[in-house]
Formats: sequence, structure tokens, C-alpha cells
Amino acid sequence: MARVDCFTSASFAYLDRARILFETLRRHHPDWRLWLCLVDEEPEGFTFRPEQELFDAVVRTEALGIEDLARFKFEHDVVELCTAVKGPMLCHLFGLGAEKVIYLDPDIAVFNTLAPVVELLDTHDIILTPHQIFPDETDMAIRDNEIGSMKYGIYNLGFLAVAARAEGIRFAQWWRDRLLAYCFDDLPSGLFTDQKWCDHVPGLFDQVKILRDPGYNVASWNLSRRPVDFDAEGNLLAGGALLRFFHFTKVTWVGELMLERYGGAHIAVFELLRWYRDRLAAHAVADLPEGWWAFGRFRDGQAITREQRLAFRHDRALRDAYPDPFSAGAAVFRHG
Amino acid sequence: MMNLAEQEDALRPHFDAIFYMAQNPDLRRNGATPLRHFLTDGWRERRNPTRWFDVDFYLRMNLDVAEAGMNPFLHYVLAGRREGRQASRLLDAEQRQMRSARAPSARAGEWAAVADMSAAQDVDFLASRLGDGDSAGILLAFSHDDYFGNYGGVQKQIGVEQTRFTQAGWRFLHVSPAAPLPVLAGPAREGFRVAVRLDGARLGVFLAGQVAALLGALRRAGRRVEAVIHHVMGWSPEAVAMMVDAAGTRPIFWAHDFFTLCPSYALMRNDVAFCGAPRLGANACGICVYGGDRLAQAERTDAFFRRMRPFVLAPSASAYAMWRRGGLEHAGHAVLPLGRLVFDAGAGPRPATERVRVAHLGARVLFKGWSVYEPLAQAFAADPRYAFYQLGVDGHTPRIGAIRHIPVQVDTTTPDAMIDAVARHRIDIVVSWSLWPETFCFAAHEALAGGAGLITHGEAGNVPALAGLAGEGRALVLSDVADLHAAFAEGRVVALANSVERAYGAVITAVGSADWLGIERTDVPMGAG
Repeated sequence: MARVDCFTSASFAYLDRARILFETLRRHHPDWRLWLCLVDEEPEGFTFRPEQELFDAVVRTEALGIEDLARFKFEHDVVELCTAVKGPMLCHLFGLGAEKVIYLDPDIAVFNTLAPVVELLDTHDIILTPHQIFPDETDMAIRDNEIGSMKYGIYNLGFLAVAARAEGIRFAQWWRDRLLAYCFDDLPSGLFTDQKWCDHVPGLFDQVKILRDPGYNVASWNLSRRPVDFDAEGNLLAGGALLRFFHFTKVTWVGELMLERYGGAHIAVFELLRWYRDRLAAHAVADLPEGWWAFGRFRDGQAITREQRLAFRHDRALRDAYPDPFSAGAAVFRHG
Repeated sequence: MMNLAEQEDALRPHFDAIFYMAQNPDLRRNGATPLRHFLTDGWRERRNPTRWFDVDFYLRMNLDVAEAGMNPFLHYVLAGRREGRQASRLLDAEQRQMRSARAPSARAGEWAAVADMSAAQDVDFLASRLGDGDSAGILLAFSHDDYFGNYGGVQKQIGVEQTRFTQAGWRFLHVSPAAPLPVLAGPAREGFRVAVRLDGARLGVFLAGQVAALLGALRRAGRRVEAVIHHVMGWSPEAVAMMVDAAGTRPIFWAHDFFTLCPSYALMRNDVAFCGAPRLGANACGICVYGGDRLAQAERTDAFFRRMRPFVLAPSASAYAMWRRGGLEHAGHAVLPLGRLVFDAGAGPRPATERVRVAHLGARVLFKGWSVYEPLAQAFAADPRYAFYQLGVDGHTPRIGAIRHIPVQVDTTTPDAMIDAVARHRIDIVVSWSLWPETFCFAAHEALAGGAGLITHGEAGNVPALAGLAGEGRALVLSDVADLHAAFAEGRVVALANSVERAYGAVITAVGSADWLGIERTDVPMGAG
């Protein structure tokens, strides 16, 4: 049996979610090596104790060999940066000898074994899950789901599985390179973080498996065609298949609104949401300041705006002048 | 822009003043009419105008309405419903129920208020009360609470049993946890505190070890002791086993509900859906508020049954069939209904000119079928064929205008109050739509005894079997909620109401444990375990 390495990428604000991911993964896969790619730094007075967490190892962005890291961090917001590191992290794990690597978003919870994915990696190098695997039927659902995926990417990159064989490694290197240069939320330019890039995968690479099992990566965007319910034995099903993992995107009001829209006639999906909120409360990160992200502020504490990041991203002169824009402070953007 | 009077006119047919006032008791001394209050202040305070419209939800789902600062209910009535906008959350009743669901171990602290904290009595006091041997025997009865202070099916059964055993010359020694709990207590034995009633008289708190020693001594002195376990909730099963061992008898265990399978005794996952007690570790338990407590007590429950190998009495065949899925060891079983129906001669059919009076018997609680009955009444509120009632206690959820509430309180002093109320209010049809398999549904018996017809579904435990006994002219067993609505729409319900013979009757309560102990002596063959 090849070793399985599984990682997620998160800031401290998502550590509660990541804890649920690891807790549920551990239950089904005690033998996997679990990694947290940490895209954050500790605030003052906060101690992070990886040895008390449910993963095996933490990798910080500094360890990923990203050139010019301060500028890189500054030009990305939290979602962009947390997704941009996924490619470098995948290559990092391959560099450490990983044979089968699975990425899962921190807001995923695993409900049944992912052994079929591990098996598929014996015959395929890259596995992707499309947002939709059945055509939608109502105008609203087509707009929300199918057209939504044409904007944001056909495959949901909350999940990715790659084997360390020729095509898998070629993919990892290509993805890493693209993310280092173009991992932005910039829909008019045809970009959406790490995700939209993967629309190219079936065209650019061989040995690709498009996993069309309704039990994988169930979320608000595909609930309309994958009703969640229990069978008589108490198993969770999605679209009639065993629910492998559920993607709790935005357990805030927006996410709930989509569940309301597509949750259907079964209470089970609302029970899932209730359970997830309970687990979030149980895994709350103690002593973390509200809204904390180490790279969300200048060193003097002032919040970095989207405009400032964009200005830095596009203004060659600014980039040249400030190799560490965090230290430079907000003042340098005022006359830009 | 509509003025207030025009707004009132537009909303009046849809506004539920009864619900509004039940939901908002703080408005009772407010001078304005409920509708006027809703229009001027209520909706801004997120108060709902009916059970089926959720102001907060509508505003959050429809940002255009929120931004326009418009009364959301008015918007819905004038435009939103035509545009297909949603009036409230999906499965609103279930979602409300689920939000209040909590693990029983997390609720345990709240039970402290009912604990008897008094000092343990000297066991000699109990010994002196039990006397020195002039009785036919001592019946040691276990249950989860004081059957005098609380009222429900189990308590009623114990009361009946006490009378019967006392009449037969037995002493009736009832024990319950001095500190009742919604889960098993910690694994105490000798030191477990037990509240004791002897022949109905409360004697106070004793230590389980001392009671066990006393029972052992009495048995060795030649007294016959039998043990009946009605419930183990709140008990340390190790303490129960110790006391039963001292009595030197194989206990009877009553499967009144499914607590020994899961602390959700009606097997309601997250308090909203029947789960059927799947295998431990199933997904269902993983996301259920009862899952952790179920796991925590499973091993001790299993050990208890392996040690006791009790004889199981079930109040219905369906109850035993479900209970045995827990795989707990037992020496054998028998089905003994807690009561049976007897009828007077029929008084003839109802006056066909009247509306069919439809009722829910009991409290307005979800697992007893309220989440099905309330929307049913709303759906047919404007149908001139029907009038909807609830006979039972007030509370749990607010009343609604579509259902007339008739207060009925059944207790030891008024055991037939429900039957009388069904008859007095000339209820034609009782919808008995429990979401869990009732082990023995007194309310369904009371419905028939009150002269009403019965409507239920196939998964309601012993109720469909009762409907089968009652026969086609008195009962309908429907497949699901859609079928229920169809039966009301198509007139099958009116047809049933017209065919019911309106025979009044009574529910004769059985004295199961006493019967069984008597039967056992005459060597009637036992059922297989």
C-alpha cells in the first residue's frame, strides 16, 4: 500500500474548520499522514501548539521555496494566498517522497472512507471532482450552479488527488508555476484563484480521472441534484450514493440561503449544518483575535485594503521600491 | 402607498391573531389590535404574523424587500407569493426543533432542580415498614422517576400495578433515582441514592447497597421478592443489578420505550426524525446530538442485560420487534398490551350536515405528530368540510388560529378525561401521526373509545395494528403525509367520518407485570428470546 499524504491550507481563522476536517479524516484514515499548510503567523499572546492538534505536521509558507515571499504575500488576499500555496505544497510533498497526495479544503468534513480515491490513484494520476455531475433543471439552478461554474471553474478545487507518477508530477509543477504567477480572484481576466486553472487539466494532461460519484464533494452548489438523506442503516447518502465528504462552504447566512434553496424535502442536510456548527463551537480557536490574519495588516497594525494590494500587484515602481511592503506601511500608497 | 386601513384589509385574511398573541404574550396589555400592532411595530421587531410566514427569513432572503423598508408580509401577500418567493424556511418546524436539540448529558445539569437531596434514611426504617413476613411477597419496581409526581404512560402503568399488587396482598416497593437524569447515572453501586415509595407512601432516600442487603436478608428469611424494571433512565445499571441480585430473582424488563437502545428513547435523531437505532458508529449517530451519549451507555447497558438476562415484556408486538434490534440479551419475551378497548353499543353516525371535527390528541410536540398536523390544519383551514382541534395541554409551541385548542389534562384523578373530551366535543376523526413507533399509544385508544375514527400511518408503532383491529369503518392507515393530504382533499376523510358508528367505550388498563407473574406460575409457554 502506497503512503497517503493529505493536506489542507488555512489561516488561523480557519483552524476550527481544519480541526473538523482532521477529526473526521482521522476517524476513517488513521494511517494517513495529515498536513496543515499554515498561511498565517501567530498574533501576540497566542500560542499555536501543533503537537496538540490532530494533524501530523505543519508546513509554513516559508518552507515552500516561494521566491520574494513578502511581495507574494502582499499581492494576495487571504483566499488567494491560501489557494496559491496549494501548488507549491503539492510539489513540496512530492519532494519529501509522497506517493499519493490528497488535498481537501479546511471546510470539508469526511463522513465515509475515501479508500476508493486511494485505489483510483493506482490507475490515474490526477483526480478532480466537477461542481456539477448532473445537468440542472430550473432556471435559477442553472444560473446559480452551471453558469456559476463557468465563471469560477468546472472542477471544485476543494478536492484534488494526485499520484507521484509522470503526469501527476508534470501537473503539479505546471499548477505550482501558474499559481505562483496568477492565483488571483480576477474574473474579468479569466482567473479565479487556483480553481479556474484546472479547467485545463483534461486538455493538458493524460491519466486524468473526472470523479463523477455523487458522494464526493457535496455542497450547496450541487445539492439540487444530490439530495442528502439517511438510508435505513443510518448511512448518509447523497444522490443515492454513500456520502464521502461534504463541503461546508460558507456556513454563514449566504451558505444557508443556498441550502434553503436546494436543501429539498429532507431534514438531513440541515442536520449536517447543525452538527457542523456544533463542532465549530467545540473546536473554536481560543485567544485568537477576531478577524485575525497576519498578512491582513501592515506591520503598524493598519488594515491592508484590496485597492492597496491591487496597486502593489500592478505597479512595477511600487514593487521595485518596496521589497517588504508590510513594513513600508500604508503611507506609500497614498500618492500612488 | 397604502394607508394603515388598506394594509389591514389586505392582510386580515392571512393574519393569525391567535398565533400572534400566543407567540407574543408581552403584548397582552398592549392597547392596539394584534394586526395593527404587527403593521406599526411588530414586523420591525421581527414578530411573525402567522405560523407559516417568517419575517426575519423573508427579509434575509429578499434583500430588495429589506432595502425598500417594506413590511415583508404585505410584500408577500401583494406580490411575493405570485413571484414564487418562499414564506419561511424549508422544514421550518423541524429546523426550530433541531435548534433546541441538545445532548442529554448536556441537559443533565438542569435536572438537578428535581433531585431529592435529603439525607439518606436508616435502612431499619424501611425494614420496620416492610414488617416481618405477613405479605404474599415484595414487588421491587424500578423506574426513572417518582410515579406520583409525574404523569405519563409508564407512571400510569406503575400506579395500576401498585393497586393490583396491594390488592393481592403484596408489598409494593418502588425505587427510582433520587436524582433523576435523562441519561444513565455514573457507575455507582452501594452508594447510589434511591428514592423509595412503599405501597404508595414516600419513605425518603436510601442507599442502594442497604436496600439490597435488606432484600437479601428478607429473601433468606423466606420472603418472596420479585423485580420489575420499568425504566433504567437516571439509574446506575450496576446498582439495579446489585439490587436485583440481592432479591434473587430473574427480573421482568418492560420495553416501554427504546431508552436501552439510545438515550433518545423515541429514537428521534436530533429530535426531528426517527432513526431506527442504526449500528453504533453509523453516520446518523455521528451527527446526532444523542450519538455520544448513546455510545457512552451502550457498553454498560449491554453488560447489564448479559448479567440480568431479564424476561422482556413489551406492550405491543411492534415494540418488541423494534426493541430486539438492539441485540440485548434476554431470557424470553411476551407481548402484554397495557390496555384494551371495550365498546358500548353504537350511538349512530354523526349528523352529516356538520363539519367533520378533526383532532390531535395530546401535547403540541413534534414527535407526536404536531409537525404534520399543524400544516394539515393550515392547508385545510378554509375548507368548509373540516374543523380542526387539539385536545390536550397548552404549550410547547404557540397555538394557531386554524386549530381550536381544548384544554385536557389526564392524570391519576381524571384518567378518562381524554375519552370524555373526545366524546363531549363530538370529535369525528383523530389524526394519530406519531413520528416514532409508539410502543403503546393510549391516545389512539382514547380516540376510539371517545367515538372517533382514527387516521394513522404504517410506521406509527402499535397504532396501525390498533387501526386494523378497529376495522375499516373506524380507521384509515395511510402511506405518508402526501397521502394524508390527499385523503383530506379527496373526501376519504369525510367518508370515514360518516361511517364511524360513534360507539363510546373505555380503555381497560391491564396490570401486565402482575398478570405475567400470575401467568408464569401456571406455566403458559413463553415466547422465544
